[in-house]
Amino acid sequence: MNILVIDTSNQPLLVGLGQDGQLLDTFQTDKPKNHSIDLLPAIKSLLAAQELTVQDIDQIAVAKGPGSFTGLRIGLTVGKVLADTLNKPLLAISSLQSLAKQVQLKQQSGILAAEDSTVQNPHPGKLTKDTVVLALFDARNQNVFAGAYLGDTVVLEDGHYPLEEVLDLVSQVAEPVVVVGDGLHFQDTIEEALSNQPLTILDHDQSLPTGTGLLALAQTATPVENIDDLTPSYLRKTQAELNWEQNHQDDGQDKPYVFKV
Amino acid sequence: MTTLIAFESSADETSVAVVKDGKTVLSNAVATQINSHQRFGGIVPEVASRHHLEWITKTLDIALADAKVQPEDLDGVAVTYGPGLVGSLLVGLMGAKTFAMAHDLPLIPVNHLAGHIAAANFNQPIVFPALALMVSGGHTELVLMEEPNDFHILGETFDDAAGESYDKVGRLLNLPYPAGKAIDELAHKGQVTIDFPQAMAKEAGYDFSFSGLKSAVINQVHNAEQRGETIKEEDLAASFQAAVIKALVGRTKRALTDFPVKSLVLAGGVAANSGLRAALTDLMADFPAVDFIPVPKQYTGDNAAMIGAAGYWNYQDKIFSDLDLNTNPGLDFPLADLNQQDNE
Repeated sequence: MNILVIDTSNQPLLVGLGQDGQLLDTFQTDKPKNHSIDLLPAIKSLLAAQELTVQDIDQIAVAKGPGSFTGLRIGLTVGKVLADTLNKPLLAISSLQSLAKQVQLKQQSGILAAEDSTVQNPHPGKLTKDTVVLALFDARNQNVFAGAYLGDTVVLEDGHYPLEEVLDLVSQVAEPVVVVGDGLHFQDTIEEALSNQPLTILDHDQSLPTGTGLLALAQTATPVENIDDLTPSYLRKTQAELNWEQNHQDDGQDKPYVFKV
Repeated sequence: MTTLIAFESSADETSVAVVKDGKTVLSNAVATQINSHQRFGGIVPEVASRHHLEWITKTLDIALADAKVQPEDLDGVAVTYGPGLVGSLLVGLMGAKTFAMAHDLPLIPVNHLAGHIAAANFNQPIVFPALALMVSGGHTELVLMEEPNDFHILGETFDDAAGESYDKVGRLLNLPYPAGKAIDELAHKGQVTIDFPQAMAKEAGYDFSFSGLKSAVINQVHNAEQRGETIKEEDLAASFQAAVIKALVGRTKRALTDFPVKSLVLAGGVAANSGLRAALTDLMADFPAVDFIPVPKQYTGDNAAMIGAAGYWNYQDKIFSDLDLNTNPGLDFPLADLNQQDNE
């Protein structure tokens, strides 16, 4: 069982090839505006290195967002077209939960220790299975795309939130917290809000997607039922639509927005 | 026999087509986002990009089913890589590259503007050397072609594209976006009562300018409003359209006079304009040796069939890309070297 995993949610690019639940090989970059150039050649070279062809891909797992709108579309276009034309199952996995899972897996294997923290931990505590993993991406103006997880339990649903709201909620969960993603963009605010909990903020390099979390979640995910209709979890409407909705009622809309000529 | 699948998503149409030998359209699936962007009075790039992703696999499946072909029947994958909106282009480009990789087909990069011109082959094969008048919402160009795949810009607009001026005048008249068709229809019910200035009419060369005309129309309406007069919309549309057509036909006539071409291609979204088609048909009476080849109306707007037609030229010239092909939103043809014309 060969599975192709793709994460283009943000600037880092991750393409991986998994077999029976294990990652065989990955391709990673961290360059701006590069996914459209690197993604397909990366898939091809990963397959070639294992002496596999595209036809040998049994499943495709793609990080569905949230994240950079353009980045997400690049990964999802490839995932949708590949699954559609090869007639293979497509798994769409939360980009935030993938990162959180990756942290949890590291933790379980003992790789992640408190000393991994890049900040002076005000309350250095042993990271345990009770650790809340808060995954967040900077959505500008003190807003974040965020999700929080305690083991397999979702503490905070993926969403677009004011940072303050997220930290309020996490501070009420009396557990150690690991922040993965763009946490360092908000270091002072996070440290202050979570000052009563053991806290670890992972830096950019420690937050790069490795494919382990995405692959692990893909093992139990249900394939996308209708590939045509799959869209990214943007979790945010466009400004133009928000403005328009303020002045209009979008009630059932007699004409479809997009139609076949 | 060469059968290509083609992808186009440069603006607000998602389209996949299957074309045989660059001239026979086996299928042409087009999803238009017009109703969505009408909400905003123009294309919102992020909204357009989102719609493209919603339609990419649907148009792909429809195109293959309508053409009754399997991927193994295909010889290549043609795709628009520019010009256009980067977010929009990316969906078609990534879709095409994925399809090419999945079925081990050569990838053919296509200039969207070349596609508009090549769509004339669906009418009759373009005879070379050829002159093309390319008129759309984003472009107004006179393009000289010595042979297939040889494009040189003789003249282009300094400011607004012709189609853009239609949309701006349409907004003034409260017509829904895009306004080209509505103004064309209004114009046919009206009389030319206002003599709008024709920019650059006396200047040498083949370039265009439409922003002055647009301003003149806006001033005319505002002045009339201040005087409490009403201008018949039909007459305003007729007068505006007459000025646009005069500019386009005048420059085309000059180019046809200066360059001995065998055919004139009319291409781009505005090529559907019946007033423009009629005026050019009249002009061709002066050039009996030149074939007039307007793009068939159903292929004047953005569509993937035209990309399959231009892709066939590239296929014949063995112009292929690797899977690292990226978008080029500002892609354009090179300018013609007019130095050899200086002896006039």
